Amino acid sequence: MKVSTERIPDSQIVLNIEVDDDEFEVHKNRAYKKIVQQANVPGFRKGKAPRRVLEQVLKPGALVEEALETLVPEFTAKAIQSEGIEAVGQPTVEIEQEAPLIVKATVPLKPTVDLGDYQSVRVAWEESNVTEDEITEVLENMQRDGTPWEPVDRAIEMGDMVTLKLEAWGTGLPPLEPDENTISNEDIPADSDEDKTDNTTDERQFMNEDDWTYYPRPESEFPAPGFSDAIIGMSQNEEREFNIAIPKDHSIEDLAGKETRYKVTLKEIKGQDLAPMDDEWAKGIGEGYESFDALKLSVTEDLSSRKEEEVKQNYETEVLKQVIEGATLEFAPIMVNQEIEHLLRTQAERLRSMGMELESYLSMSGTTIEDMVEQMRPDAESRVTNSLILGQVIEEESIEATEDEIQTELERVTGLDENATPEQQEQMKQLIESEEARTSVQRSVKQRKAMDSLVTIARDGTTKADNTKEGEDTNSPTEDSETTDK
Amino acid sequence: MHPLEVLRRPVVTEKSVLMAEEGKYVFQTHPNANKMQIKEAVTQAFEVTVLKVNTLTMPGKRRRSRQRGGWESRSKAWKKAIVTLAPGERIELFESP
Repeated sequence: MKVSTERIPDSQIVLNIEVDDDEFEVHKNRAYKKIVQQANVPGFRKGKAPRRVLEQVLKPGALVEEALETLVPEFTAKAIQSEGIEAVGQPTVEIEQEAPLIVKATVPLKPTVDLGDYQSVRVAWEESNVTEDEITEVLENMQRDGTPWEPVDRAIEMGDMVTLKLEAWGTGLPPLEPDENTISNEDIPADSDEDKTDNTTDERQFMNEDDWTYYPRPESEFPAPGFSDAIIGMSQNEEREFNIAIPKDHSIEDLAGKETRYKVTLKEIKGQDLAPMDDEWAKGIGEGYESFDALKLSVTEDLSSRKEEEVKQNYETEVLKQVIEGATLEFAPIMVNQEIEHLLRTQAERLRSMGMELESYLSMSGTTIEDMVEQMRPDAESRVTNSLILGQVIEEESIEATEDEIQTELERVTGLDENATPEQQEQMKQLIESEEARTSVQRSVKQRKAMDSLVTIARDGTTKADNTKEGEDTNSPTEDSETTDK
Repeated sequence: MHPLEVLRRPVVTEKSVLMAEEGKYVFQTHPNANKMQIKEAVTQAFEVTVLKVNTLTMPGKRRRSRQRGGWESRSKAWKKAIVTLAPGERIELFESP
């Protein structure tokens, strides 16, 4: 066996392995012994046909193929070992030449990560604060959710629920696409279409809805901004026609900057008789609150913890992004592919838990598995990058996870399902005790801590005076993070 | 009979491969070929010395056909010849590695 190596980009190495004929022969013999046990050769009992006879009966090359199947992994493994290569995955193998046999194996190497000057990454921290408006909004939503809709005999006000017959036309809209069935149905009322086309040639109807439920709100952007304002004050069975010029930055591209005309017939108005926000009302909310103030406090706490979480999340993303920018890393494409596979598996599992197979989901959404893989690629890439970066941080900061932390995390992860059946709990327990779960949790704890220490570094730079020297900086935050984490 | 008509095909079975190791090679031959003709044909075809030829007629096997209401027929009988070569001589066709 002769091996030559060639380093190629993306943390990969190519091994050219030349296999001696003798070594090849050994594997061919092995392959013969395997095949002959299964082969039906006329005139011979199973396993009794001589190799010569068997070779004539089989497809040409079948024996070689079988031989390669055992030979290639063995020889690539041997070559990897003899060259002292640290592989992180299965090599991709090609047969370069058959006589003498040359195997070309592309081996993914351990990724190289250079964090760069991650110690000096600083990101400004924005405190989260909950505004009074946000609290009021949540409370009002609660108030609305708990109140039934009742028909009312008055003109439309904001906050009502109305049933409309709505027709809408727009000027200069792109032509209909034939397979857009939602709109092409509207071709049928040809009479209304025809007399409109007399006036303006390029006006086209884009909505024709009967018994359409609509919630007038000042901020509503659909069907057009200002639509709610335009129908305010209408009363039952009233008809109204009006024009709205849609602003250029509208989210629906086809409509942006267009002139639109609406014809509305009001069929029904429903309103809510909202209870006042008082202690009485607070008692009926959820599991019941002592007083309105207690409810408000709980809402505030809820909001602020959610917001804090969000701020923290964003902050972490930003810090990580900056660290990645300063870092240089090289990894083999196979790592991304593995991640994609992992993502696909999780996706399939999630679908299965909803009672759907991946295949039927794909055919339903009209995508192929290849599309999905391509879609996942950027995500998978960033996940690989993130985990490599964090892995390197773990190493450089020598972050360790203690037994206690692992145990707590395990319990947290598995304890999510309080109302699981005893069987499930039993399964969970086994899971907790499995080595696999332990290592994976250990990794996630470490990553968590690595992220925390990055955050500490990035925040410390902003809170501490900026005139601290880099050299001092590098030590203090790490120690901080470790002590606070324990 | 032309020598090329004599030998029909080698018989390659477990048994025949075993016999080949003792220098005995088995062929299916023309049903009317005699031992002399077989000897002649093998000598010519493989350039070997033939010491002995044993022949026998293999009876056809009974076959029942479902389509013909289970009527019995016979597959054709054929002549088998076992040719013994001079020691050390071989015929490539049967060679086992």
